[in-house]
Amino acid sequence: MNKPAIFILRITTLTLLLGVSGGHADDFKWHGFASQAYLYSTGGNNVYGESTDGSTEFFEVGLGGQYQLNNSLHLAGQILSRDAGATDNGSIRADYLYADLRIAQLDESALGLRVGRVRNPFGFYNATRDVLFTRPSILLPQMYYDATGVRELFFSADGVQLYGYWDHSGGTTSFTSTFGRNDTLSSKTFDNIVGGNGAAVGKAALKNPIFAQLMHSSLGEQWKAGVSILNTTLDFRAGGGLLPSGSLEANVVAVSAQRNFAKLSVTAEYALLTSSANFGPFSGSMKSESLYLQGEFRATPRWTALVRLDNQLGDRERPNETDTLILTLGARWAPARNWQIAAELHGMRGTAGIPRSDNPVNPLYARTELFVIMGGFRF
Amino acid sequence: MQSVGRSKSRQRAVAAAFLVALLGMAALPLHSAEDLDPQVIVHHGVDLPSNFSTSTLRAIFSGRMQRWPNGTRIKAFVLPHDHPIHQNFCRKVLRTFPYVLQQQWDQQTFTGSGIPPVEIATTYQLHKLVSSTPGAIGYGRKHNSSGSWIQFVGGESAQHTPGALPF
Repeated sequence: MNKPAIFILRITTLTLLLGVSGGHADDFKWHGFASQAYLYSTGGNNVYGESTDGSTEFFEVGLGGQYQLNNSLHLAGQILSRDAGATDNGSIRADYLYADLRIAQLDESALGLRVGRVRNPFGFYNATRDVLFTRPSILLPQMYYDATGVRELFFSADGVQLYGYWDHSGGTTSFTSTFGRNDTLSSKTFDNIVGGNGAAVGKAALKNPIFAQLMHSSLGEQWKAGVSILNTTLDFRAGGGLLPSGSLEANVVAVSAQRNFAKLSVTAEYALLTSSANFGPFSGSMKSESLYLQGEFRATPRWTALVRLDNQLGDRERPNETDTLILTLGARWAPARNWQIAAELHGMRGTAGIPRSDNPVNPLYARTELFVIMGGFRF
Repeated sequence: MQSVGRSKSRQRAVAAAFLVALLGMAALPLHSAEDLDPQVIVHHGVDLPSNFSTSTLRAIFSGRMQRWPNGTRIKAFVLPHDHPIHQNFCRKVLRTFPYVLQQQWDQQTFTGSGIPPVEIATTYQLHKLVSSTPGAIGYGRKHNSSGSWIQFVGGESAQHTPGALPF
């Protein structure tokens, strides 16, 4: 853990210890979740472990809590362990840990500030993407996995987050903006971002990451729509690999819309990732778009069916080589409030949904059929 | 042949009767659930915002609004997800769907951004808690159709005997 993270941990622990003595039981809340999947794929490609032979290398376990110190200040934290084939290794990490100060609370609006390691809301699902119970499906649409390794940059940031909401004429508008501090990246993470072929050896740093989301909902969230943006620069100092020193600037914009009915939710999201690389002879720009349309049908309070069409467009001039289309059919059963079992079939045409690091030797195949089943518990 | 025809028609009649009974059984609880109109209950010491509305209630029960105008912490209590009064409270008072509210609470819990309302098993316990907890708000069953949709509970003047409670 780096120095600022240790500092945040110390401050939070100290405040927690000082505050606990004066608090009530209902000012503190624990939460936790655990889920385990089984994956089986046909067509030659592996997804999260050796899924062509059947894989269980996909689990998520989290434990967290929050404590309301007084009317304006609360603390929150969560540790997470996630294994996902070769893309995640199950190590335990501080997922988020922050102090939240409610600066102003009026009758119809509020403004607050969070300091520490914070969650970045992006699209509808990024903020709680590791919790089976808050995802519409076991595997999220491609816009949430965009480019291997970017996940680490997306999910949370060490910095300051300003948030607020405003209720007006039957609707609610809310915003969240995060100003992250500069941070170092592991050589492996950076290598994955620039292609995962081992060419990048050296030191990489994340410079001035900015995340922002504006969301509007009306009629008790019967309608919900929003815009999310992410902008960051990655600086790289080469130390012996093929890739020379340079920088990579990445921008992501996502537009989200959802319509909720009594039993049906229809969701569509579009994301555009543009990046510009400046590494001497390896310079250039890249664009990737993804779009999905999803229907969730809550047949009964315990049973939900899902259908989704997810399209990732790489290079519009070479669509046959770079496009991916995924059709997902899913069902979810919640036998009790704390338990869920979900099963899905993904028909994939294209390779954007296939983790490169789970298939290090073989060339990727164009077609994959993937079956995933996952059971989860929460408290 | 005739007896076969008669037995078939008897089978049909039995099937029809069974179907009617089944539909009746299905319709019965639905009908009584519709009758369970919710009423918002608030601790007697709470100073409500001047423009208290559906929008305010949504902000409170979704966890966005955390303090009353005088600075007291809001303590919201709810009934279990499948309780008919909770379902009607979501639909008729908040004008949203129960699953939408549940998603907002899950979002708060797993991002650490707020503590969702406390779930209480019965309307009786919920009424007792709102009566005795400063800053509390909840809901119960409305005891007559002409009654106000909001009621202050607890305090000196309120009736505390279980027999007098509206459920």
